[in-house]
Amino acid sequence: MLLQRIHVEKGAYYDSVTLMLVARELQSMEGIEEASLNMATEANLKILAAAGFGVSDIQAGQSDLLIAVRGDGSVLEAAIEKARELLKNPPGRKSTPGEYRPKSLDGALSMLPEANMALISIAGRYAGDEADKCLDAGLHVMLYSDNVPIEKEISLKNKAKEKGLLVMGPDCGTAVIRGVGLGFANACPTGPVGLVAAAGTGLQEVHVQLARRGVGVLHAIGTGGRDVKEEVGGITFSMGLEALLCDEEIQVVVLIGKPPAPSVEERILRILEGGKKPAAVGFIGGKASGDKPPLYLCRELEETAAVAAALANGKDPSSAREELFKSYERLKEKAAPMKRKGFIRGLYSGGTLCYEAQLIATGLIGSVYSNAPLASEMKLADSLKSRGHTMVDYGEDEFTQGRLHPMMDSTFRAERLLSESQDPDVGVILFDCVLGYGCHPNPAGQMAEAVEKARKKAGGRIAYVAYVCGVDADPQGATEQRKILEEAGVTVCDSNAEAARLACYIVG
Amino acid sequence: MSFIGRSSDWQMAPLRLVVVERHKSVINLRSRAGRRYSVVTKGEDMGPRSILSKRLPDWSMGEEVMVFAEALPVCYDPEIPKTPPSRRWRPLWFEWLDFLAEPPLDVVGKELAKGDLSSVAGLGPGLTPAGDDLLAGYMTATKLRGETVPAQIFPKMDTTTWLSFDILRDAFAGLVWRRIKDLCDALAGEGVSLLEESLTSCLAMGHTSGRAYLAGMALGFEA
Repeated sequence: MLLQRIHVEKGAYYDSVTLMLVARELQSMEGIEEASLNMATEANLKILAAAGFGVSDIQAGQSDLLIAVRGDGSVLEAAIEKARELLKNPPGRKSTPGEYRPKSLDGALSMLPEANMALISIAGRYAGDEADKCLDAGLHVMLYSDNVPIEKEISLKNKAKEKGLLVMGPDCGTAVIRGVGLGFANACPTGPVGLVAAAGTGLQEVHVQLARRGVGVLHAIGTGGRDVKEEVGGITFSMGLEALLCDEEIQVVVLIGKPPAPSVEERILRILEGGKKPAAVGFIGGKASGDKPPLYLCRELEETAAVAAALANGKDPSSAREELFKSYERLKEKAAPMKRKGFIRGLYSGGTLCYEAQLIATGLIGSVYSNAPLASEMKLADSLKSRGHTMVDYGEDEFTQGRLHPMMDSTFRAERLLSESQDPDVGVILFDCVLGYGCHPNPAGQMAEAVEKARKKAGGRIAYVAYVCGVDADPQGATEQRKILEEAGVTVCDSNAEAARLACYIVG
Repeated sequence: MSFIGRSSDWQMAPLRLVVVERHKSVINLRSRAGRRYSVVTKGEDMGPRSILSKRLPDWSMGEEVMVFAEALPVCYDPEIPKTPPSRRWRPLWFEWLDFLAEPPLDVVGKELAKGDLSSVAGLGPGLTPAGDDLLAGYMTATKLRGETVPAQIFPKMDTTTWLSFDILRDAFAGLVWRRIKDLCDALAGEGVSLLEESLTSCLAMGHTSGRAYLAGMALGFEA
């Protein structure tokens, strides 16, 4: 009989990579069926409960660590002890010193006085103050960390603006500066396009789609999703755009994000019009419409890339867009022999990809439930329980506090794929695999394994549709990743928009 | 013999030595006067009273050997340089103090917090106790600043291991290992890559020795 135990380690903070490595070590112990280490946030307690752990008696706050193990009762205590021991010297993290790396900002600047940018990736509650120090040192900042209060974001960005510096983020996972990718970035070519994006995987998708069309990007400035909200006022977005407009090497400007607050959008478009550079605006699902050449307004990511590529290649953007939408129409023929009954369940690692898929699906098959919905009435009461057509963004804070982002580890998402496959009301399971630096070395492998298991139980009742966001030069190799999924019986599409449409046509 | 060169302080007269330690690339020998002598196969392991050899001699533990080094060219001078460190690197050595807040060196850090530098002698983990490495680093930094090492911080012989005590004697006399000497040279200059290389090389000294030595140097620079 399997028993379980949850141990609370009070006031213990560890980064999510350490927690994952220790959990893996525990899982390899004989007699241990399941092990997880997570910070005791409300969301993580909920996830543990959904996994069958009894959490009602747990006395823990979000600064406490939960070590949860299930297995043979005789080894549970030893597993907890092993976890505590491993946390002192995590596996895979060498305690012996390697190459010398400065540990402080001042130390780093003494060794690299010409540096003009800092990338901050630490727990959100400390990140804002570190960003402040970097600005004081005259550095641009890429703030990868999330969970930074919005008041702090506003004060940082105002301070940066006064100093003529950029604060990319918080929650800025991707950027490209002079062709060099920062954070989760794809190995795409350098070229004449400059991007500003308030959407991380939106940036990656456009970057990748441009590369597929033979067009490179010189700079891609991430702003963090909140930048274009009314409270922040698009400070970084506007500054980034102005910088690209002034840059003589940039021939085409691309803007990406969910629709900004109206006043912010108006300001951004005014700056763009003043710059007189060819531009593709990809505010996904935005209300603004009507091209004003050389300014083209798009509603989807691949469309934005197709238009921008045409602009860069001196071709007609309207024709490029038309051809793309014709190709989407042909997906209906592809879907005909794949028809299934039931709902779509989308499991996303990329937030913007999830958002775009909802937008497309809503237009084709009706409203979609989500933990990050298009409209508030479609919000899932419980992110772990689907209803109707559902698309879940596993990159949302509720899933990433004290846990690896799904682009770095899809284990949790793969488990959901298995459980969704057992739901008789499901007809299509749709998911993404985002590639690039910093991402899991084999996301397709993680998902394919789950698909193979699920197919053994569900047979051919469910169609699996995926999109691999990446290029062959990425560490994982897009073609290789695609092949892994196809061999597992997954239909792999060429873009997120295409995958979402195909899923809809299969059940529609 | 496959000896290539010697350090400048190797005594010229033939020496009768006893093999006391044998490692992968180092043999440590003890003289009748109780000093350490070494035969090493890597240039970066050269230190005071060392011979560089193509391969380690086939000597057994406890064996008494005669070493003739008078014909060998000098390939290393263990005396620390006379140039003090550039103030440019001050923020960098400040962060070396953080090593004392992390396990396993925190035991030394806690003892230091009580205020007495000499009390760390023989304390902590490592083949050479980390507290001794810290003291050696402190002495090196003090010398590098052109000042005299206060005699009261020098530990009594019975507080630590033979090898460690010998290292402290050398540090007190201003003699250091090549990795430390390279670091001293790099700190006196402005080259980032040289400094990076020498710091990496120092960190590779033993399990904790490099970090403890660096922390000691930081304390010495700030004394």
